[in-house]
Amino acid sequence: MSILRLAFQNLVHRPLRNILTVIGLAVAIAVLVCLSAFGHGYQRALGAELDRMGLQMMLVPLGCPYDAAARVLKGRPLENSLPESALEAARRDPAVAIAAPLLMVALPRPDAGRADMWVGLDETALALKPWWRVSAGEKWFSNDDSVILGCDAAEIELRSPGELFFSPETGRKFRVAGVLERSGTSDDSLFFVPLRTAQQMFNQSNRLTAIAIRLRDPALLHEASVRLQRIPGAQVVTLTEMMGTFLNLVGMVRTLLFSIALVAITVSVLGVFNTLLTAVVERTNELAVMRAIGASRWQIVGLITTEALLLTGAGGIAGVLLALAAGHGIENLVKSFVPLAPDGTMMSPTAPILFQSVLAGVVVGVLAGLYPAWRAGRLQPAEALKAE
Amino acid sequence: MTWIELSLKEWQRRPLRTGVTTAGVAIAIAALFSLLAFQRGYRDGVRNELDRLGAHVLVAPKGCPYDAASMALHGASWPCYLKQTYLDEVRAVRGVATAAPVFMAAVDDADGTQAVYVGVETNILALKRGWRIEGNFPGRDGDLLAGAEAARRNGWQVGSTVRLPGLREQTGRVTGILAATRGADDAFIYLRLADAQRRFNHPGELTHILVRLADPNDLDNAVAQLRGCDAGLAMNVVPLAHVFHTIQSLVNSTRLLLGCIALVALLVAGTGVSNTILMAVAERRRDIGVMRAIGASRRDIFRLIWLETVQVCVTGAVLGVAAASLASHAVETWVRSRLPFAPTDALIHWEWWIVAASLACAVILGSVAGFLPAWHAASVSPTTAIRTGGRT
Repeated sequence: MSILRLAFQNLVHRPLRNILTVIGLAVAIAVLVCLSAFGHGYQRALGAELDRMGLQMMLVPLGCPYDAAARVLKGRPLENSLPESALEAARRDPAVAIAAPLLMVALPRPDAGRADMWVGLDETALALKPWWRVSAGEKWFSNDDSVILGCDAAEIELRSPGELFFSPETGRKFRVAGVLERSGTSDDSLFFVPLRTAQQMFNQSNRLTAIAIRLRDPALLHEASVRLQRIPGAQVVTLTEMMGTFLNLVGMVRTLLFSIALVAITVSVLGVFNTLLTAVVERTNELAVMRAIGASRWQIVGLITTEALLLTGAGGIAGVLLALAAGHGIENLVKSFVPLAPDGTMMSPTAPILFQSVLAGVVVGVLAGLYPAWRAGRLQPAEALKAE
Repeated sequence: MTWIELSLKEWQRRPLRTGVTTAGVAIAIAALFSLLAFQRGYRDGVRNELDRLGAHVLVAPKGCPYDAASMALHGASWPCYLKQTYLDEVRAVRGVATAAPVFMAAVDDADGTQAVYVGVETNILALKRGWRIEGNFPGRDGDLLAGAEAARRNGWQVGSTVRLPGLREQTGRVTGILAATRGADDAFIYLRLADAQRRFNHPGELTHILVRLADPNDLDNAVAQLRGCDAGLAMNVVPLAHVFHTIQSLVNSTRLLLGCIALVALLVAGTGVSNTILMAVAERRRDIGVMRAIGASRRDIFRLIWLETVQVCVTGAVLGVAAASLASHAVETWVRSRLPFAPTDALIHWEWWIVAASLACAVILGSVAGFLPAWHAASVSPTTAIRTGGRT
């Protein structure tokens, strides 16, 4: 009978105890996997999202610029607004290729129990959103009273291109020009109208929520931001700065979380230690007989270490499976806390992360098995059998 | 022999195993305790710090208002400046009782320590009502008022002429020393506003304006007026009460996340305890059988094992709380190095209710974890257990 098989049978012999140990370890490993995968995925998704936008900076109203930029990117309303004079000033700047104004207003719909987000755009927006695809209808507004709906918005309002659409709160009638293809971003739930229309609808004439800016050459970023910062009533956020700030914030939270995950792993390793120690003490007689009929010290040490490996290996694999199964739920929980949660998935459990987590579990498990294995190897067969 | 004594017997039988289990609970409870104490300390620290600033509104250059608040509180060199002419407009706003202009700059001394110079006018005293000055407030250029810590470190006395740290070849006369405020003010060196602007080559510029309102309840109105004045487009008006609320809500939102993970640690500790007691029950099947045979009821056995579990958890919790309070200094240093907006006060601030909550958590944990082994023990049949010698 091989050592591996013997070790396996020894574990199966005490199912309840070993299953509890495996559960403890699995939960701890699952937390570790989720945290590693999350941090990695967040950075990647955030980078990809900012890249896809093709803009280098934004002009936002006074107030916390990061908060403002994050709100605009995620389609949430802002408390402050910019004067429209800032747009002309930005367009006059030599380094600016495109300056796209944006007015974003939340329209509360108390009877429907939600708030609709209306966004006013002008033609420059098309240049900044090359990935905009309409699933039906026109790609741009035909007149001042036309609206383009995000796909979720179209579903809720039950409208398709060409149909009339009445907004009771503002008392305006629109014709649906087009419906956007599902993009998985916040665009899906928005109502797009021409900028002038939005300004009239919400009594915000000459006000803007933000101005998205693409430069002629990204290398001009620094000098352009110094010049644009002087525009009255506006401040500049460069997206790289913004990403750095958010990564810092998320990094801080992650360090805190990691330290607690470490606590969970330490506690579960103490459990492994206890289980193995008990297994050795209980089987003193059996191990002594094995020694008496010719097993060497090292074979006994090997047997207990193999048990430790099997136990922690099972824990690690169960933990990874648990993380994969629960990952989606955890992602939703985490998404509600981070300031600029990118659309799409943030959990990206790559093979190295999974492998490292299982390995970490096994390594600490083997360390926990050292003392029980040493104690088993030290057993004197004659004395142990006599005591029995 | 009472039930409690009987439940403590396990410590004698298997000291190592019981000790390791207790340590597991202790670690989890220590983490929980530190978390709760940290939440509390961070909030109180931020509030005290904002209170000490004495202002209701901070007027700062464009940029992130939280960065600005942090710089104004802790002392730093500012990346942008305000024009001094804005001050008159701020003062003209109705409801503003005091508008104190500040010019702040931080320089590194030769030995690597940072010296923070703050240029102020006498009206700063209307904001800092807790200040006790030994000597006089700077009356002429070249005079300086040193914070308690700054004076101690440099060995300054009132009336002495001193070399200014970090400013080559420049000297000043110490006219006053500030009694300790236990805030960041202690490390600052106060100069006259014009003097500070001249020394740092920023004449006519300010880093921020501290505004105290006649009526703090009038905050929203005053803020709206400040934002609406001509200079309002070139400066950031930051109501400090809002800063406090934002930081608090940020801390609150991480609370749930951290709580979830602390719960995971407790869950893992719970399975560990459950497991250990289960093993102890398996080893003592024969004892339990004998106890049942001589008259102990199922309930008695259940209570014995359940008490044993709770006892292990409570011991672990007491050790954990003790360890966490001993280690709080180290934990604080570590956390502080990773926080973007750390107040100068103690971050780990425990109160009796936190100790009580941690212990209550341990009792609940023990009760739940003890259920499975206690039930197992109670269902031992006396005849089989004695006949087989306890082997299953």
